[in-house]
Order: sequence, then structure tokens, then C-alpha cells
Amino acid sequence: MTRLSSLFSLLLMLVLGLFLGLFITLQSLSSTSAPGSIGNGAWVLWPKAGAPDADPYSLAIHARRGDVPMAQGEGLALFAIHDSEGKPLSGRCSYEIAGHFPSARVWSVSAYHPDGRLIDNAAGRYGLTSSEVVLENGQNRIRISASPMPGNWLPVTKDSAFVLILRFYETPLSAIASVLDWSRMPKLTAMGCQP
Amino acid sequence: MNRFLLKGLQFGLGVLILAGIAHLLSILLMPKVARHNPASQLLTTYDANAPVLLPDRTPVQTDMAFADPAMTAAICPFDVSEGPVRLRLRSGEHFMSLVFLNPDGRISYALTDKAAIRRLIDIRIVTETQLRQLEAQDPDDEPVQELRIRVKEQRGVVLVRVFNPVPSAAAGNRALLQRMVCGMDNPS
Repeated sequence: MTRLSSLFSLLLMLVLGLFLGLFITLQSLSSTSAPGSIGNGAWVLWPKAGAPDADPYSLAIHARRGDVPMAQGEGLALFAIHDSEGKPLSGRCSYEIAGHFPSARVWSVSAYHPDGRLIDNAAGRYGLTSSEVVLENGQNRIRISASPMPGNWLPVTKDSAFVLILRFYETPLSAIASVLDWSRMPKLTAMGCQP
Repeated sequence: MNRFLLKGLQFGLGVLILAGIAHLLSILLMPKVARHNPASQLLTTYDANAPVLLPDRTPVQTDMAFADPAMTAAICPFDVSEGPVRLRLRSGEHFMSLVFLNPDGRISYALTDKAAIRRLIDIRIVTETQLRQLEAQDPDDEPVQELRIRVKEQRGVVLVRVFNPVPSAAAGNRALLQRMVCGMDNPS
């Protein structure tokens, strides 16, 4: 009887341990504060993901997401799944990316469904590049909204969560990604939401 | 009471240790088992040692999540088990990058169009043994013109991407990538 209860206890321990371990894995891979990531305000990046000695968490996150990370030397990619106040990005709201853009040969910004697909829209516009953006008072200002906006408009779908990626190609920042000066990076702020 | 408490502590500690092991193993195995890992997906879908021009990024594409729609892309899935693989292409006026991916998605090497010599990127993908054989055959008085990239794994994918500053640049970049050479160096 004692042996049976010990066996049951061991099995229960195994099952609970396995479930708890896998739960922690799923939570850490879905989180923007997983080991290997650094973030500030709305943006998060995985500075070692594109290096030959990438850490296991960065590798696991990108493998699960199904994307190819930006290689070291190629550039730097900033992800946003929430705005600077920590609220998830939603098609019900409009947003603006503005502020200081770091030095890079070229850059692009694009919007995606949370599963990584581009967002279908009537304008057929899936992103904007540094060449397409028209400066406003000498500054880059990008508006993200489901309804058409004047100026540099990036469309998203109403009533749906989305992800933004801002990529800087051939930037000196890729070498110092882990010690970025966030005050010299663009800000992503919510401009208002529809009820 | 103390015996009951001790048993409870032992059980809790056991669960935590097992959870830690399960967590670490699942993190380490994720790149090998993830269904969406683009490198393994591309290696399964396309033949090795032949260039493939990927379709323009649209909402229906699911082969590579979060791909930049401003990039026109091609791949060179390689297998160096039978010998070195040659990858040759011309760079244009727009930013270009070449990223070497292992089957588990790890990036082993990357370069940009800055590595081009007179706008030509000429790469020989080799194993350690093949590199030694090539170096033994190199003439002493002539510098090697090609870039030799040594890979640890025999199979992999080179992802080549060219930036389209405006959508109309995509046609020119597609034409550029269509001329990319990717194949066995000296096929028998």
C-alpha cells in the first residue's frame, strides 16, 4: 500500500513538474520581457537573436514565431505589441511613431497580425520605408490607424490586435544593441481610441 | 505533523526541479521541433543547390512570419555533403543582405552588399575539409577573389534580401535576384 502511494506520488510529481515547466516555457516565450530581450516603452528587441552565439531563449522565441531574426551587422529590429503605456496595440486606436530616428542606411516600418501575416488593406500598403516617408517639420511622423490619415499613413484592421516592427538596416546601433540610448529612439504613442 | 510537512516539502521541491528540467529542455528543443521554423520549412520545401526567388510579401504568404514587405527575397538552400556550393550574384544600388541559416534557424554568418567586389558577390560555401583542399590548390602568386564561407552543418539556407525603397523598385530587384547563381561548384 505504501509502495503504491509512493508510486502515485512520484507520478503526480512528474506530471505536475512537466506541466509547470511547459507552462513557464509558453509564458516566457509569449512575454516581451523574456530572458535575452531588452525593452523600453513600447519597443522590445532581442539583441543576440541574430548572432552565431544566440542565446537559447532568443532562438526559441524566433523559432516559435516563425521569423528570421535580423542578423548582427545587417541591422536592428524593434518590435511593439503594446504602446508606450503598456496597452496592447489595437485597430480601434490610432498611433504615432515620432521622435529621433537613429542613423541607418535605410529603414522600414510594417504592421502584422499577431501570427506574423501582413495586414490586408484596400490601399495594398503593408509598410512604409525611409524613402517613402515625407518629413513633417523636418521630422519623421508615421500614423498607424484603421481609418485613412493625412501624411504618412500605415493602415491596420479595425477591431484587431496587431504588431509593429521598425527595422533599421545597416545601422551602427546593431553592434551596441544591448546598451541602446532609448532617448535617441522613436516613440510610439496612442493618439486616441474609438469606443 | 513534521513528517507530513517534510513529505510535502520534498514533493514541492521535486515538482520544482522537474519543472525546471522540463522548461530548459523545451527551450533548447524548440528550434528543432517548432513547426514554423522558416529555415527547416524552406529546406523541406525546396531542392538543395538551386536558387529560388520567393514571391513578393503579401497577406497570404505564411512561409516566413513577420517578413519585411519592403524586401524582395530569394534563397539558396545548400547541401555541401557532395562538394562546395557556389553562390554568385550582382549587387544593385539598393541595400542587400545575405544571411546564412542553419536548419535550426540559428544565423551562422551574414554579410551585406558592402562585401561586394566591383558589385559582384562571389561565395563558395565549404566544409572545413573542403576549405583545406581548396587552400592546398590555391596558387601562391594569385589572391583568392571569392569569399569562402565555412559552414559547420552540411545543410542550410542562404536568405538573400534586397531593399525596395519604393514599391516600383521591386521589379528591378526581382530581375537582379533571378540572375543569382546557386549550385554545386563542379557538378560531376
